[in-house]
Amino acid sequence: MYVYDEHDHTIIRERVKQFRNQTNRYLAGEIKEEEFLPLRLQNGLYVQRLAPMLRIAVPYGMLNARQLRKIAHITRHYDKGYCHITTRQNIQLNWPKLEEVPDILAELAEVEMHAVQTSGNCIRNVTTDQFAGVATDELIDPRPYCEIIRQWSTFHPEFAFLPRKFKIAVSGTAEDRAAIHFHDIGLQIVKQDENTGFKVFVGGGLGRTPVIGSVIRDFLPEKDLLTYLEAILRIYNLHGRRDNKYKARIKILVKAKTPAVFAEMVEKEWQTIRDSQSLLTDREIHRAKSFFTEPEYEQLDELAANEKLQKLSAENKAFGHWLRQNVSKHRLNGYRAVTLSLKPTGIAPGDITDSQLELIADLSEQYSFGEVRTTHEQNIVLADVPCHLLFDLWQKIVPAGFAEANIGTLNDMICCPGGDFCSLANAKSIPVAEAIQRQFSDNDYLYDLGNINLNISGCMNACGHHHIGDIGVLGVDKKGQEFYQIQLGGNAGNQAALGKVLGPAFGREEMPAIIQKILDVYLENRTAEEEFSQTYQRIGIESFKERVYAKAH
Amino acid sequence: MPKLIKNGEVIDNQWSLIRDAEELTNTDLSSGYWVLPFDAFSSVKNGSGNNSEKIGVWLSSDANLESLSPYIQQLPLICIDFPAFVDGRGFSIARTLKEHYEYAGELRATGHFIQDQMHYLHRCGIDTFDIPDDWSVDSVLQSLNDFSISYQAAVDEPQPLFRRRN
Ligand code: SF4
Repeated sequence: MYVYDEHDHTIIRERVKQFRNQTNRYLAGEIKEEEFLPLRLQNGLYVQRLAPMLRIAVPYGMLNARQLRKIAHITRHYDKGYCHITTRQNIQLNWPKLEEVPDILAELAEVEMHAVQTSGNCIRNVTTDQFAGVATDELIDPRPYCEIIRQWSTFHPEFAFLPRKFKIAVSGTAEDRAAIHFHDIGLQIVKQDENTGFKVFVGGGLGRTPVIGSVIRDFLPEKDLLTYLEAILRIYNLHGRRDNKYKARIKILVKAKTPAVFAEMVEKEWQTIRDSQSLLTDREIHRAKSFFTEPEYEQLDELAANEKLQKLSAENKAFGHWLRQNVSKHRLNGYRAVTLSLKPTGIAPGDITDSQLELIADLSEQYSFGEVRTTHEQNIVLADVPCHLLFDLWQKIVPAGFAEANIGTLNDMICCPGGDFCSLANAKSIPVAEAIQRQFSDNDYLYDLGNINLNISGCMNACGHHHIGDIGVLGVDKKGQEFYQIQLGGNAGNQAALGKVLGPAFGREEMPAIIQKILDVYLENRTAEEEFSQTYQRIGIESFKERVYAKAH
Repeated sequence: MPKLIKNGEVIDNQWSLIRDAEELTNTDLSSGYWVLPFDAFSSVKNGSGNNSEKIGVWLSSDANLESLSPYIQQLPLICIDFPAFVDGRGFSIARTLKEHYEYAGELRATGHFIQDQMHYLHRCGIDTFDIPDDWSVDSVLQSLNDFSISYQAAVDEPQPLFRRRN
């Protein structure tokens, strides 16, 4: 994991001081409301429906035990004892006091954390695969590049007042788990001969106008990363629309210009700066990589470990389910990555309490080299657990409530905070998630359904990624009433696809039954090997429509 | 009187900014220091060469730098005028003028920017700031120095931090 040196510490400390000064000036009436707005947003501070909301950055999802304990302390001391993992791997506090935010930031700075650029019209926290560094299908670990991008984008003087927010994701694996097709810039790490570089996608995104990103460069050598990003951002900053908030994202510019013309504009700009001092050096790439080396793995016997696990699974069915659902393969023999489920029924997806955070800190130290990752599915991963400790770990997390064997199932839904917290919401999302979880409480039924993504957003802003779930749910407002529109067939990965709207929206109480109908159509039509997305692609949306909107006899 | 900030000090401003064509017709350019809108500037420039070291230009945030490029090197002053502080185009224009066009004259921020942007603006190449009279100079100077170190290369520090770390 990246470790700050004195420069990083100075920068973050100066930021805290700056924001303290800004907050004081604001409270003293020296900064106007609208001028304070972008300043607080770029420190992650929203003013929400019920209270301010503070979004803390978790750079590409990595956290260590010390940081987890600090967050636990902060939630206890400054908030109501819990926080929320967001769909961009960050952490949100729902009830901080505006005047205490500088103190919270100062506490975070002690453990090399901050809330820099987690909101506002600037370059946001860069995200990647939660299994980075341990995935079996990884070409190259994306995290060193994420860190290089993090530093470059942090307080970038030119790009703090962009037309709109700007999100970058990096993927280093064959299977895309970072949704690079749906970011303003998506970077796919590729090799050409022996050289490392990036395939560059631009103009993807969700929200009001969902778009799948376009490739503007097949191979960008790694050293050119920052100069090329700078060229893209400059073109966007100068030419992106500023007259209409809903047309201000880079995707609209790329569409208007066409990807080919946009690529030419970037190329032309890039030629003027590609040999500048921002060209990366071997030394810097090496330095970044030196923070993401292997922990001190033991030499373990995969076959023996696996045999033992099979035996334990046979003896203990619940453990077996958990092992199958919540435990993933690891690049190294005898190791596994464990996903702690933050989706037990009745808890808002992604919510976690202070004592749970502390427990996870302890577990990470005992089982996984003291590090964890947050995931965009709003869970937490212990990435380096030796197989022979899995049973132990499982026994500890069952009473803690993290062992719900539902990862990848319908009940591992992505859900934004929605109308319970968010002032932009059209409808609540958490109660819909809960009603669905209650309806589908039979695990055997869930396992039989297989992998299926259910994504719920409380409004068009799509924080719950509803366009890219197998089943997407969008909260809509009809004459002041909360309704829910359903979309089917979205895909966040390599087969990037946007969901299609099924038809007219439903009331909240109808939702579990409607989801049931959709699942029935899938179960009745699937072949032995098909997952939901494949059946959907084969039979199309019509069969689902017919069933869902059939007149009752 | 607005104040002018340069290198951490308040200095006298000898330049007057002419907003539009109408103002221009009522102005005698042969004496004094004038900042003209770009359109007017190019016609004045192409007409006669009078008083040229006393004529500057101000750019709106949609300025086309290519059409300005023939004149850039001779200009004593270029102002980047912010129509609204959230319009961040001026930051890119400033950097492009200084880095790409290697503009060596004075680059000034005018119009609606806010105190808390001044550090970034300075990093992007702004030399002087036209600030309203009611701003506290002490507070402004503090904001200008919010950060003592930066990660990225910019006009004030052409080497990114990664080339300067030990
Ligand atoms: S999708 Fe809408 S309701 Fe949900 S968190 Fe985002 S802005 Fe709020």
